[in-house]
Amino acid sequence: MKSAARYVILGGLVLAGIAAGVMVGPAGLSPGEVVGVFGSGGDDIARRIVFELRLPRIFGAILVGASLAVSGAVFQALLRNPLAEPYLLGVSSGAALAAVGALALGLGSLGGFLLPVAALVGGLLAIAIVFAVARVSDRLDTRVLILAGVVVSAFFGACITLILVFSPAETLRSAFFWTLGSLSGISWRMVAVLAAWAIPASAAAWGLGRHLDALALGEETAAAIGTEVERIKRIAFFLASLLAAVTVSVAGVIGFVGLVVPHAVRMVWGSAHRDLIPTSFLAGGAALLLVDTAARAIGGPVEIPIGVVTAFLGVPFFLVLLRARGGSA
Amino acid sequence: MSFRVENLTVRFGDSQVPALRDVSLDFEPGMHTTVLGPNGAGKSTLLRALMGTVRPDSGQARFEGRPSTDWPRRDLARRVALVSATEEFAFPLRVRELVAMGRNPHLGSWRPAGASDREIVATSLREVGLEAFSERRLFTLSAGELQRARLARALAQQADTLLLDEPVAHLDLAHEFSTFEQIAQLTRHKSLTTITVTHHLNLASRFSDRVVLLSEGRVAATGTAQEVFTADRLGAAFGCSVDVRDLGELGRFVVPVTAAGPPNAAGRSR
Repeated sequence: MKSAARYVILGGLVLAGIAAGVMVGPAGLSPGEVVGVFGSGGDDIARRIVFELRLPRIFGAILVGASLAVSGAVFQALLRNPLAEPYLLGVSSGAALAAVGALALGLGSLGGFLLPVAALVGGLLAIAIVFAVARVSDRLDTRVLILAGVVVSAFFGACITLILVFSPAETLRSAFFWTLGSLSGISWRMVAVLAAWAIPASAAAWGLGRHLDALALGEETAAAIGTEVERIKRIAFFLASLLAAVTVSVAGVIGFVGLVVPHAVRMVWGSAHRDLIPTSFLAGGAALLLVDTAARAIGGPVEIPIGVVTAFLGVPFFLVLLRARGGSA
Repeated sequence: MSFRVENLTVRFGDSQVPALRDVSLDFEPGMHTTVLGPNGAGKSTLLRALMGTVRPDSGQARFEGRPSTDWPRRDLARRVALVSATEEFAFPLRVRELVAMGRNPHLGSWRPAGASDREIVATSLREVGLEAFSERRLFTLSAGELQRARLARALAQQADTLLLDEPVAHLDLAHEFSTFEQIAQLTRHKSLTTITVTHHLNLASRFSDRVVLLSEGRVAATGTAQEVFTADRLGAAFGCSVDVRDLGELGRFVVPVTAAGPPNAAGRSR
């Protein structure tokens, strides 16, 4: 298989990221101590740091990055727009509004799972509104989908701002992390929830690969080469939206991964979606993991919102790629 | 029998004027039919009705006896290939990738493309003379090359029925001629049922076995170009004055004389 090389490269990057992610952190464990916890011996505190803090965060980063990249790749094909990204249709603002609303009502202190659940419900609500608006007599109009998504986003964004204006500083700070994303505090339970959706949904998106190729040529041609256009559009919309909604509920809004990663993969390896989807999965996982690890190494005890770091690293990388490949891509 | 259209009426939205009204037509294998008529006559709508992508108000378009709208897309795509008038390219594709999409209905969602699929793609590229363009990006192609690449994708579908919507739009004199010549040859050699929508009356006359003249959603005339192409009939349909010359085996040639039409063509609704 000609495309095997890319899977080896990206798989290697994921493994390198896992190794680096286990070593790096504010606790300052030595490589020996880290390796020790995987053996029979090892220090109990080191073991807890590695198994309860670092490893869930590592797998959380991989799954969030992978989900966002696959979601972005699917949205780009569905909307026939290379600039589409997972948050375009309002999922992120719906989730963030619900989370910020719950924080403002003081529900944040009631337990770890309440905020993610609220965020998921908010994201689903946004998806439902946008879908209902864009569905005209059994057809899903992708142009209306974009417009409805952008408008719903703007409305929810205004609601968030309104809530924050009347909120105390403490709520502001928590809300800040929601709207800029954070991978801290990801538990094994959240990793399990993420994996339970991200892996089957990404596999399903992979199965849509040929239909996504077809949809990118326009609906008339897609139908003519065997795609059940309306069914595939609905499936693609819900898969991609839910991938985004689940990541936002666990890690907040992390920008750029869903736009830059699939786009970069397209530029380097082409746009055939049967390879693009699994490649984006690995590349998105590797990218977010490496960025998060770098941020932890640089930031030390100060937690820099991951959305800021993805923008700082993603934008220059993307501009260089655009400049280098723009003409030929 | 490939396609059979019975009393087909198609209306878009709440439009008072139907795009097609009471159209009945049969299409036979091994025949190249061209569908002619002025803008808005219902030519593309007829192709969409054949493909089952618009729902008829009344009447039916059937493929092999089954209404086109009832065919699973994948099954229909193995029998019927369409080259539509326009196509979007959201992402930069290579010629080979575009043509390989013609194998989609044969592969389904999961089966990887095999050696035989690659061979069919290569053969299709050869048939349209694009074998040297396989790795080229689509945006580097001329309009004529792109049109041939899309035709190659339709050939890679290995369908027995070919629907072409204005296949020579944007092509120069030589390319529009060679494209029509090739369509006629493919139809004969592979015994295809080919239905081509076009504005090129002269090429239609030379390279089709049958012409269908549509006007205001109705079949104004059908038969060979010899039978259908008369100055009165074409003038009425297109709303302009024409002169028709018989050039023997080169076909019937239509020469526009003035844009002013016969009186009964004035004030057409579409």
